[in-house]
Amino acid sequence: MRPEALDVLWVLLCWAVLFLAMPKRALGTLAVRLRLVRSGTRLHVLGPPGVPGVFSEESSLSRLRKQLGAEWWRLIELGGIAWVLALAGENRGRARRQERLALWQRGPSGLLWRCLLGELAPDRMEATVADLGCRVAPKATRELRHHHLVPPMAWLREGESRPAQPTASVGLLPQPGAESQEPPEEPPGQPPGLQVQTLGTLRVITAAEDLTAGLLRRPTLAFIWQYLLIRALLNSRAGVHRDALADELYPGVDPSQQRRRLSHRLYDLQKFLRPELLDAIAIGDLEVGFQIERCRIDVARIFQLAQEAKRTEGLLARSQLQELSDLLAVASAEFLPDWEDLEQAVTEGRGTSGDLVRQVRQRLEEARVTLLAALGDHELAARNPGQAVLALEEAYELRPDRLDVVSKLIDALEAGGQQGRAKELRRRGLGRDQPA
Amino acid sequence: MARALQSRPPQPPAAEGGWRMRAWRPAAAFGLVSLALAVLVILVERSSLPGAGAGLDAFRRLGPIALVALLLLAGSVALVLLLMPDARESALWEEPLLPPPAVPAVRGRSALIGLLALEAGAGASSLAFNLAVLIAAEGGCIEEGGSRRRPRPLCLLSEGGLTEALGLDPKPLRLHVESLAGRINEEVIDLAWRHPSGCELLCAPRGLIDRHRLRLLRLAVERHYEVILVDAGTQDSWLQEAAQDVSDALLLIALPTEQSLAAAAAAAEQAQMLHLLPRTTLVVNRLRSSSIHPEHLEPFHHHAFLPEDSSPLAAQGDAHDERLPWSILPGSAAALQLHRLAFQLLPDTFGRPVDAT
Repeated sequence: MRPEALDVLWVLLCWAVLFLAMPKRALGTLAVRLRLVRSGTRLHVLGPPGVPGVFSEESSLSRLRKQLGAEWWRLIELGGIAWVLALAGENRGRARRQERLALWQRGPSGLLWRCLLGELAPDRMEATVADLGCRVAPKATRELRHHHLVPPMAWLREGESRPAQPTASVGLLPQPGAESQEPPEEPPGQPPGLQVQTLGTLRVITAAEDLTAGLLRRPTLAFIWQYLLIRALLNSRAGVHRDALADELYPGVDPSQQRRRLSHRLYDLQKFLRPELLDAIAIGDLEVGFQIERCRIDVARIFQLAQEAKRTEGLLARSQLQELSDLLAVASAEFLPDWEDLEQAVTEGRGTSGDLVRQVRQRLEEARVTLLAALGDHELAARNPGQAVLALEEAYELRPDRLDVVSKLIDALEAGGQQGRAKELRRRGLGRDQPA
Repeated sequence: MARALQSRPPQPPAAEGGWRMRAWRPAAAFGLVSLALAVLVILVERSSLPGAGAGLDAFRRLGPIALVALLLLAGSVALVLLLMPDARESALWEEPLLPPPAVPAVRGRSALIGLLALEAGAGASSLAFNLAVLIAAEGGCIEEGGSRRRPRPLCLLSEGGLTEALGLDPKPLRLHVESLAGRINEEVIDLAWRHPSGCELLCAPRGLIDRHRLRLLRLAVERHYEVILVDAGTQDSWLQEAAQDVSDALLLIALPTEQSLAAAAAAAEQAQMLHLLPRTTLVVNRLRSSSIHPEHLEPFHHHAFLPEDSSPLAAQGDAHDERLPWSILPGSAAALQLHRLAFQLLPDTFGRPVDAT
């Protein structure tokens, strides 16, 4: 070989050594990057190796080949010394990350990740996290106001002044099996059957037995039964289309799946519910409905009486007054107070049934105001303005925007000699425009 | 090297110049230096300096071996060039070295944090969801009724892709507002869906939540949640206005693009006029290079950067499912930045600093 050629080779070798040793990048931040890589906070000194298939199930030889290929370029770009430092730092960082990964897998985040991937049941995840000393936050719940069934003072005073006599109760249902109590008086034309109390708490009884526990034992069936009842209270003539019921019961699920599941639930309904409960449900090919006329339902009676009261002016019949007072005593209780819990358990609150319950509660409040106004009207006609003011004030508190109530209240106040209060109401412009 | 650079796939517009420049400049410098060294070596070899000739003689004896070594070296480099386009590509990738976030602290119970997207697809919904899960999973413990529990954030997500993926329906909240003639009361809590992490999610229908309703919503729920996160997308200008007005802290979510940065400049002007800058933070999401010009950040007192994620678990494909919160993954650079952000933003709720060593 000629000496000139050897010179060239020597130069080329020097160039190659230099090529490998010299960094090709601006490495001003190398120290910081190496520190972060060593601590495991950062995965790579510059960037990811980007070796395709490193995490897939390739052969070892293929992975090695690819890794070597990637490392070649890192060596060229970083330069020999920085490359060695980077490799060492990455190795140490990997070990640190492994330790952290092991900790993470046992910690709340790791357990949650497994739960989200479906490897761990949510309740088990929550139990394990709670065992670590700090449980996962439960679902926020608003404080439900459970109204107690307390009759108004006026009613009690009246009751005390009257000689004891058996009364028919609508809201406060008789205890089943209590033989000493007289059976409730049935309205004419209404067949005896299921009695449903929805105010304050849910109670479903027949003359002989309390069926509530049996109904509530299966939450999904209880949901369907009560949902149909709610729909019937809002519109007694219309049934619920099967698709609508399925969508309510299984929101966000594929429609065919919804229909199939609903069929199973309706089958369960017929299989597991007592015949007395099932009698109220009409299951058709297209629609499912609640036959409200086959039961005595407290809310339905309140709505009915409120309709009648709208058509009545002045004095009420004694029996009508008695029933109105009884109903007013229970109408302040909340309609199906446990509905939200049941809905949460069955549909996780994703359906729209809560809105229907709200509508019933609004209608109930409206009916209560109407009944109070009718009672006030009666007391005023009976020249008992003090009692009229009590009833009408209660109505006014509930619905200060009802002009008929305000007008009657002003009349009652004037009749009772409370001119100041009557003037105040007028001044607010809530009643008649100007005094006569 | 030049061939490798030419074969690179297109990069995001803002990052492209930076990448190419960073790769070319050292290559050019290397070429010049090696040329100069070659000339120097030849000059040394031709010279008659004592000692230099002996070294050259020794090298000449090893000539054939050096030749083989060089051929092998060149061959392996060529092989890598031919077979490993991805490896060649990856070597040019440089993850930015990000500064820790600088975010104003919000103290007190039930802080309302607004996340405003400056560009469609900026990731405001994803960040709101991930932040909520992160706080619920790793927030500081709270004593309640004799036991300890994690914080319970409420995340109001704008109707969109993420809410669809999570199966959240905007209808219940719309019905709630309509049934109450525009008001919002405590019953809205029942509409929130509880995520397994413990955070609760509500889907906000487009154009429904304005300033007044957001205030009502806050009043109705603030006793029940430690943090309220509001995701205000670009398509819901009412919610954006409301979040801007009602939030205790405002995060403007931008991408490293010209469009986002222009929107950020406009938002900064508006925030300055409304004296909102002290509680506003510019969050640059999915950052792939550190080529953000400082002038874009200048008007903001606070800013944070979240990198494009490259954690090993994210690479498995699991984290591509947007229902899975990447913020709780270990080894994720974006999650680490979000941890730091959450700790600075909510020191009372988040509770503990991030292990940054």
